[in-house]
Amino acid sequence: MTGFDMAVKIKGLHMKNPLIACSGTYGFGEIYRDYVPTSAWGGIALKTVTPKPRAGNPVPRLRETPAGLLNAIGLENPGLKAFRQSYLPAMDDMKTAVIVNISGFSVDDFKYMASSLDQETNIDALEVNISCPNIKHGGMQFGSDPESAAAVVRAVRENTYLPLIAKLSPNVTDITVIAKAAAGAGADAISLINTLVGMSIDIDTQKPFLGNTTGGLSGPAVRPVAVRMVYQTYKEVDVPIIGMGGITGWQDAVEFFLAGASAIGIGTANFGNPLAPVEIAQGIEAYALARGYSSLADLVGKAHSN
Amino acid sequence: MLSQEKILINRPMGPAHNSQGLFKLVLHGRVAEEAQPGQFVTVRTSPSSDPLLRRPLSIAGIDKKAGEITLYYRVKGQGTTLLARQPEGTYLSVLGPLGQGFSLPAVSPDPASRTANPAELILAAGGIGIFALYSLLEYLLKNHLTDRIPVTVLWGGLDKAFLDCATTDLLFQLPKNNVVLCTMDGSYGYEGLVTEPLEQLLSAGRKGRETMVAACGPNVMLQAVTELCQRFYVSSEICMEEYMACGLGACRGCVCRLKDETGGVKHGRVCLEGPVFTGEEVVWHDRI
Repeated sequence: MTGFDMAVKIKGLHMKNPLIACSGTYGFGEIYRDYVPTSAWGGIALKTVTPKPRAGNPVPRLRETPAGLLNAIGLENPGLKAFRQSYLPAMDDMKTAVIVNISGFSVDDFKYMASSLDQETNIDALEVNISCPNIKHGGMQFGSDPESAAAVVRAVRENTYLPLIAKLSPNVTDITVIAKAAAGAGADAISLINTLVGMSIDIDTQKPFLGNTTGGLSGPAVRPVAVRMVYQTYKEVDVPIIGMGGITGWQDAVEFFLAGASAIGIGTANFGNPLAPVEIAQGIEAYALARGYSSLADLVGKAHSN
Repeated sequence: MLSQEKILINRPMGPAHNSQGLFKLVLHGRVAEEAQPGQFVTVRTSPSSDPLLRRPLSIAGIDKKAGEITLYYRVKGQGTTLLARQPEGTYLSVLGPLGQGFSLPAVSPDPASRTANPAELILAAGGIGIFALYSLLEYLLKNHLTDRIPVTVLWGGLDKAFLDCATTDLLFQLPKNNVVLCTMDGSYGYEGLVTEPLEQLLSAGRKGRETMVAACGPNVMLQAVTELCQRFYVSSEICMEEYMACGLGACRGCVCRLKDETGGVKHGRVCLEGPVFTGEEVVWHDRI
């Protein structure tokens, strides 16, 4: 098929298509290579890296819910030093945009992460995680308040020339306030949504099911919330939006473009169907061609013009 | 690998009036080529996104020549309910074989290696944990290793009805005295936990680490088995279970605690570094 341009440019982040593997669902890009070539993706957002190694939360860390998944992994990761030594060199042959997702527990942590990674040549963008609901300090706390969100984004902005994506939490009263703060502080793009805080109780033991008591809900169950937040944010901010939340088929992806997303993330769907990115890319292209669109930009935000 | 496997058999186990919700699933396809005892597959139970996740199932039988794997499952929630309705002759999306299986005794005797050539094997199972051990038992029987290595199966279940249902012909191929059955209610065999006859066996004078225990069952049982084995200086391999999402090591949802090289504790992914771990490496308590 020809005639439809799938490429996406967000500042210096160039992607051959608008599909990004969501952070936390794809390891450091190494896991799914036996099933899907990494080149099928426009980009891969790696699992969150923090300054120091983290063991994460006690099990159970997962609970499947209707059309959804609660998780409370707790940002388990090897830490920045081991990430650079053991994983970063392999990013050279990823054949896709490599987006390193960073988090921390203070503004200084984010500064340190940004300045440490700024000179790495095999990174295409940084995604700033101010939205993880499964850690006690930092994480979502930064993303719940416009001032602290701006402070973190600004700290990263001042320490890197890499394209900067701010990943926002849906667990806020007004997502547009946080999005505006992040964009104002220098984010080149906004990704939303991270998971919604939820919980499940085991009726046999009569105790919270997850080791962390609460978890983050993902999957199709959260999709309407995500679409609404992309739609609202598109009206309020000028930077591109990477929309995510329960996308499992191309129809879902199209919905996000129409709401205002310039690119989309696929996360939990990979678990059930590793071929999701291939199928979704084909579906988007067929949809666009059938309607005579020549580029993805023709679709973005179209739901607002009606 | 990710493949579409044809469903040859998908029907209740055991007598019609007593299936206990247990099903036998035989699949034909490419997975059998690479499958090893102790590994698992994940299957997609619905083309829709509810349920969202694939279901992990232990590989219980492998027929490489015929290209068939046998899986057993218990109908418990929405996913397994849908799986039980899949008609024979249709195709199922199967991801696998996944994870690390059991160490297998060498088919030809190898005096240089004790793990590949144990003097004796004890297979200890709790409940449907027997399904993962069936694949190991099948390997031992198929390769006539039971002629050379004494193999004892210790298996505990809730009651006689459960054991009747979850039994397969494999168990009848062992000498009668080499199969010890237990029930919690005493309705068949030894009354009590499977760890009790295991302790009796191990205390009856074993030749240290040349005895090898392979176990699968609930975590409390696996903990008790590994503690017994350590007390009697017997090596063990345990097949663990934990809630999984991706089954491939990406999400880090299914971790267990392992000893690391420096004497500390690290996480192992049950789906990738497991599901079979040595009893010695698993950490059950906070302190080691």
